[in-house]
Amino acid sequence: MVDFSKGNIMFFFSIVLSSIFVLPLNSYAIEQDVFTIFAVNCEDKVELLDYKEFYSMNPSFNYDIEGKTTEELMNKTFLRLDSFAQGRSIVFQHWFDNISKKVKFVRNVNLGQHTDNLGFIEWKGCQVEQLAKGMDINNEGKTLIINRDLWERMDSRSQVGVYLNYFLNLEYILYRLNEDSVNTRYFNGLLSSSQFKKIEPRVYPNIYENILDFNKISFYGMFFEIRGYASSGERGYSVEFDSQGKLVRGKLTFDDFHFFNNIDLIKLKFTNAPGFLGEMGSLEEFRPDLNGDFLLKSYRTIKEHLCLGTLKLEPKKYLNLKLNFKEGKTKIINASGLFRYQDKVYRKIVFKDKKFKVLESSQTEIRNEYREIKIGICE
Amino acid sequence: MLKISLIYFLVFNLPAMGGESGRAGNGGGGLFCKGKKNYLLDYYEAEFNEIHTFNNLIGTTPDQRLNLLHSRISKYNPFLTMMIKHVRELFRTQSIYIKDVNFKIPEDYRTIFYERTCELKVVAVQISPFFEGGNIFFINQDLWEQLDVIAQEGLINHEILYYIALGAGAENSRSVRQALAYIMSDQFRDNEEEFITKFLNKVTNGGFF
Repeated sequence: MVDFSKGNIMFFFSIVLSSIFVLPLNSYAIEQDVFTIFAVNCEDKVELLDYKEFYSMNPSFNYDIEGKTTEELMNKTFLRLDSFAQGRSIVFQHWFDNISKKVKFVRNVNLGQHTDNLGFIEWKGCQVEQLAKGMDINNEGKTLIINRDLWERMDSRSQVGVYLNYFLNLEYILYRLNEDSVNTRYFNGLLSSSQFKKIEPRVYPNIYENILDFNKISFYGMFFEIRGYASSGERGYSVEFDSQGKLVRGKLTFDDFHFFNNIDLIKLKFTNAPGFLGEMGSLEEFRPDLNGDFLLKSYRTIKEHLCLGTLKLEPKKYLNLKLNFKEGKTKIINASGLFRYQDKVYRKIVFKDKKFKVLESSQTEIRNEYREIKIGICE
Repeated sequence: MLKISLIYFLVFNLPAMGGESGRAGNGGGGLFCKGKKNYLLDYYEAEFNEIHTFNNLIGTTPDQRLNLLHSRISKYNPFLTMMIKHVRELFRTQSIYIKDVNFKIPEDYRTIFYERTCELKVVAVQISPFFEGGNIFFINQDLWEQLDVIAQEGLINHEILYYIALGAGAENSRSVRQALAYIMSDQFRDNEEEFITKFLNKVTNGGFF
């Protein structure tokens, strides 16, 4: 029985209030079309501000990405990022592979003003300077202008950090309209550090939402909403990870990463039913079953006729899919629901012998016109 | 039990309520004077403007000074005292000392005046942690080592009260400096509840603590 005493009412009220305060509030942010990347110029060397700042604030951590060249360090970083933000890792790799077409190194150029927040630390004998300007990578021409004089005095680690800063802030500042790079600088430092491996995967959604301002994340070629909520004094999210960092639960969304246009790499492709999911409408739940496969549940209407091989499914509700993810490929193992096929009703369609077939042994006497999905023929 | 739960909840959510993670709050300041002792800004301002004196602190032990703070507050706001104790534990576990740096002078320090032989510097800064368990309080170790123990304790108390005030919506540390100076001063009037509540409200912004 709930106790509605004054103390409890105040307690619950304060929970609601604090939930409101943690929601992102950049509805009135000013649109920016360029942002700045900073370096700390000391007598003996130049470092990326992100790393200088992060390691000053966290002296117990250390840079621990292995490699000597820029390529080696970037590849190791992408591996690390892959378990944390799979879709964005793919996008960043795509951008890095083409970065030489977008970068211009300059000397003796005024890089203009900035409105960023440079943090609270000043290092004795050092100056924080503008190292580079970043613009939308989808624009024509060069979109990352770098001061060569500072760049040449940086080691490979800092140079890699410059590219990561650029990729992170393309979304954080230019697309999601945040005003400064405080959070992305912090995350850039965190990603490079010995601390990153110690972060429990259950904390990932907190980092997505509160540090990086992600509202969607992509894994297995699907898009999931982050969506935080407060319940019984605890904060929760729609996405959940196991102890290995594998996404095991999430609320699917068909909203794309609009900013990452023309990068087809993160769109879901069922190897045995190309294009199927894109026509399906709304899939609500994604979770593992006991065998390590994944279940997708649909509670909404399928928008158009769908083809599973030669089987044509009419638009209806209540279709569940069992999926298997192996070696980067996604396959539909079976579909379950109520399927009316040749005047009989079946519970399952399976993928067997390279074909989708109605499973004869799943025939049922249950009739439910509202939930039945009629099966026709796809040419 | 309910009050303890509420304290724990508020202490760990005050940074989120007060602003986005990573944002720095103007911290504790110090006056560093040639040929003289160095001061906590809160106490220096009060003495310089001839509002308060702090002779009662001379010759006392750290425990006595801590009890003075807690007892003066708890008589009129025991809940706030409990919060202070919890935030003190946060300070103990989530603070970091940094050498060879300066911290930037905040805007509200521009209206502070002081003797020419002194320099006004920021000794401590606090930020809303990026995630649970992250460092909150950052202390300039070089300046910290130049303060005497009364000023060091005062700095910690300032940071604790400011942590609470930021969560209640404070935009700078001015009110906290005034509140701390009054609470620790010779002029504290133990029997004037309305006057004392006015100063405690400088910390809690009149909130429901």
